[in-house]
Amino acid sequence: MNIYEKMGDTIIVYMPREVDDYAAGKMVEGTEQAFAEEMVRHAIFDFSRTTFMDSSGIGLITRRFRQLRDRGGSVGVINVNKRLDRILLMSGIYRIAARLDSGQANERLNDVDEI
Amino acid sequence: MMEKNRLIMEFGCDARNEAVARVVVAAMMTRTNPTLSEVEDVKTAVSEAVTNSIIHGYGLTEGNILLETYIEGRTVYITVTDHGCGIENIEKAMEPMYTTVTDGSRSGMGFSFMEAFMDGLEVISDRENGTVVKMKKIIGKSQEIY
Repeated sequence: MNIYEKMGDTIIVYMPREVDDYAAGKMVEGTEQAFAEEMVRHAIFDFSRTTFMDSSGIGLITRRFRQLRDRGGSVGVINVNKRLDRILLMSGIYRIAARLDSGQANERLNDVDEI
Repeated sequence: MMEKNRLIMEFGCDARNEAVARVVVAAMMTRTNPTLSEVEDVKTAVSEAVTNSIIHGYGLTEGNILLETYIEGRTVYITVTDHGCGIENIEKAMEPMYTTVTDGSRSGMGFSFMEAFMDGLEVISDRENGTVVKMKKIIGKSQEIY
């Protein structure tokens, strides 16, 4: 499975099974080039594979948020289980990242196709 | 001789050892008959403590991290010790979202997560000797939130 996929101005990042400092570092490395492209404005972090996450995952999202905000973009998360939701909620990340259901995520991606 | 319910593990500050540390503690604590959620709480807290030692304690230098787990009844005691640079201001370091790393890559939530997921947290640190993080989790105590 690819670690990311690009659709128009949106990048979908497939988060690893365990998101810790080591995995988050690898993830940042692996997507650095993709995020460097100016046309990428929105990111959706897909947590469908993720069973463990510590605060390193929060750092990863805020890092990309800062980057995309400067281009007028946004970040969102999908497929968040209860455990991850608790962690995301505690961290306050929902102030900057929208929690999307798959319908909303598809809508975002379809909007992109129309542009 | 070591007590029956004590485990001591020492490892180098390779980020891959974060996973090793939390899995070892998770395996050790199964004897307290924890819920999945309690195991996850402890795994997250251990991951935070070990990451702190690697990123902040040792930074670009190297050194060993000592992980101690002790079980008494249904309480899990965990100590993570490093001999790194220590914490200049513990109070500040424990504030949510405070971090000394300024490139935006760190959340500053490490200690907040340890506090939230465990039933006790004590941090002893000085510039000479490094940092000791002591945590405990009382199994069977907390109500499931979900």
